[in-house]
Amino acid sequence: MPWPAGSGSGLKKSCMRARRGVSDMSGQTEKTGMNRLINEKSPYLIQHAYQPVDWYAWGEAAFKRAKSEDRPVLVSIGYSTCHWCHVMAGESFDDPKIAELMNRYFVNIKVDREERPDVDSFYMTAVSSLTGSAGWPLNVFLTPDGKPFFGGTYFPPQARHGMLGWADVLNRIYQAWKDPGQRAKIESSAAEIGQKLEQHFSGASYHGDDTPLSLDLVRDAVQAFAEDYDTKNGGFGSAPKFPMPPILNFLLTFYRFSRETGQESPLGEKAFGMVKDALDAMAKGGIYDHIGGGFHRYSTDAIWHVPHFEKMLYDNAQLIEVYTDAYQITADPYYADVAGRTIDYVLREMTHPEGGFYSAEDADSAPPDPSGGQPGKREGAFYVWSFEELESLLAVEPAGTAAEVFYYIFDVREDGNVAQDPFGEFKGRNILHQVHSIDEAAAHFGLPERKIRESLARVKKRLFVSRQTRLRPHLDDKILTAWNGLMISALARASVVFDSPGYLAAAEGAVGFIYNALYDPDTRRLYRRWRDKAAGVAGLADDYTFLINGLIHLYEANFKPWLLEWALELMHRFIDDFVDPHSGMVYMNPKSHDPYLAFQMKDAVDNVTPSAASAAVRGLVKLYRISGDRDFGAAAEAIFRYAGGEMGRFPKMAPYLMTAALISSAKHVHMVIAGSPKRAETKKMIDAGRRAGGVGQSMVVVGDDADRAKLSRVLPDAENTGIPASGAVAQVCFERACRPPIDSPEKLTEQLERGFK
Amino acid sequence: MATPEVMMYTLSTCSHCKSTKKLLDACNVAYDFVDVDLLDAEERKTILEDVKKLNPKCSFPTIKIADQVIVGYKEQEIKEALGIS
Repeated sequence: MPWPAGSGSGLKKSCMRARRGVSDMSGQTEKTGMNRLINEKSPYLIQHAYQPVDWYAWGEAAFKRAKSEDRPVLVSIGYSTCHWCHVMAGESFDDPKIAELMNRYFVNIKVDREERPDVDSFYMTAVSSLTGSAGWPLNVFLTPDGKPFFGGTYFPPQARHGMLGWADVLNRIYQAWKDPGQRAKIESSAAEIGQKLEQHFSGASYHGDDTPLSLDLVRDAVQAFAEDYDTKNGGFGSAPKFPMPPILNFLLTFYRFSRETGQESPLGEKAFGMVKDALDAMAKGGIYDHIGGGFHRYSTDAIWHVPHFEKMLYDNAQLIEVYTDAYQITADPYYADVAGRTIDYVLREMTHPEGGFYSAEDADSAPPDPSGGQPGKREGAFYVWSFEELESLLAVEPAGTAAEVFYYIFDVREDGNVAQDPFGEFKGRNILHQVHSIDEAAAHFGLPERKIRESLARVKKRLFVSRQTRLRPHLDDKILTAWNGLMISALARASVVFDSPGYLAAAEGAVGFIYNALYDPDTRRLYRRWRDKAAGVAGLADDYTFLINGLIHLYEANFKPWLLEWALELMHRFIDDFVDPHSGMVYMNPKSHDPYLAFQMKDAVDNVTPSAASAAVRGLVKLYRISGDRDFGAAAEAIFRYAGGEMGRFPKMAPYLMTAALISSAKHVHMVIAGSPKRAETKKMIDAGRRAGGVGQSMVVVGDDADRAKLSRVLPDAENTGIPASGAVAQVCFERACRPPIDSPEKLTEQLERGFK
Repeated sequence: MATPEVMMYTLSTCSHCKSTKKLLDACNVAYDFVDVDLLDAEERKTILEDVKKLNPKCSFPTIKIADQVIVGYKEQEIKEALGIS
């Protein structure tokens, strides 16, 4: 399936859906009684615990009842920062009359897609194949044995504008279910959809046209992304626009690969140009929080101005990594600033005191001036500004130019700056986006750049402090292993590039948290979710693969051997539970999967995060290069072979897989550095190795005898490594042939320069 | 079939040298080797001259199988040269 089909298109469609009301979740407290979701940990499920609907969580109790009472099942899927999920909840699930219909006719199940992306993926695909599109909230009707037969996304409570009303849907489905003739049809269509789903998820549609993942395919993909690229506004496609970090990561890696090999230089430059323009456009746009740092989920327009305001950990983590990489390549402090402020945001607002990272912040919140707007929560209320408000906040600024400069740079207007506002959400409000540069402002106001910068910083700080008094959007404070893995990667990379002990400590803290809270050392398996002192949900493929990549990144930052040991152990577990070594298919749910999902489902398409297959191959290639473990090499090959066939047909399917392919085809340069990490010489040697920056390079550091003993359990290099009594030595192997050890960073640099040629 | 004569120049610290020795052991192939880094200075100089003739980059392992020279732990090539692939 090509990007952006599948869940990607669904996500876009549901986001583009017309908005018809404002939900007020606070209304829930007026209801009496709670349903059984009160016992759940997911904030999204708990949001539905006070509704008159007799909700079940996904699991045995619900399906048992459906079978024993021969009732159809409703599975309703969403997530806590999903705007349209709140709307439908407020309109329909809070309504006692509608709840009564649901309770009388169906067994009703609520699912948090972030906890159960496997359940989500299964029914998302079902609804896509039934209706041609899908999104969230996702509402699917099943036979009591779990086979989907009807579904859709958002429904208004009563029919309007040609949309079926939710109450009608409930009545009609129940009537059909009770009519023997129609029920037979339902059951045969459910069986047919079941078969289609199995074909889709098992890869039965794949004809075995194995094609090695060649540089030709990689080149085709760069070209395909270039065709999608919006040269005017930056980014891919048209409205709505998502940041798509896996694509940016791939294009940056391609650029580095083209520079290193001297191949494909013009295309490499083109790839880099796209990334640079996209990063500039996003960081200047309203999708970026200019006051508090961090990125919102996507832009509703093509120019990156008007976002949907929720902030997701996975976007911010991946964008930190991309901006950090861009800084490393360009040395442009602008990228360092964006990366740094986004890290500050995550560490300030999204970090549990014990070290894990929370999942998301909602888009909606109570506005600061309820008298001026509709009651209840509003999209972006925490982030937008009225002109009057800014005037009163900035009146204290001397001589008034600070405010003028700020308005000029960030396009602040008296009557608000949002031109496309069909639902009047932002009437009279300003969504800050940078339309003029510091240079332009300096010229415009006849002030030195330094003055402009100082005044901007002061104003931003004032707005930040003022904003802290507003009611914050709802925080989804569950901690997900997969998304934490992405953030660990980002912080580890940033700690190296910006030489920051603070970032490193935060990454180490998160790894410690996952190890203690989300890992079972007896079974050697991961859990997916932790919240409120409890881990739950068996780890899925992205939990393993994103965490493994995080551990590798952190190892490359602090060289603590246990990280490598744990990564290697988790990778063996992952291969056993999630990979079919014959076909090369990677499944998102494990072999011993949930009995209410019919089968293991393949996961090969990258979207706003990489697929488990793409993330797995990156980890496999890295660990194979470091450890020489042939199982990893073989698994990576198998996945490449499978994907190569698919990518010949759908070049944009898996950009992050091609990142892995580039790492795999880049020259393998492996360094073993021996010397106590406390010594300056060792640090210099490590820096010299890092500076070479080869796409396919890897490094192991053996600091002392204890390190060597630990590493010897997993690495062939370690055992014979002599640790010098003073200074540091490095041994470099190029494509599995090693040079004699050398004892100075200068010699290392020289050897690497020659070796990369 | 007669097994070709195998001479291998290695470093004691090099993981790929070790992997190559393991491969030959596993295939029951007899071979001579010299860990170049463990020689005294005089001998090392002489041996390095020999290695350079086979492999100007002077990297390890450098493997001579009959008249064929293979540089690095290249499993497939080594097996082919030994006629055991």
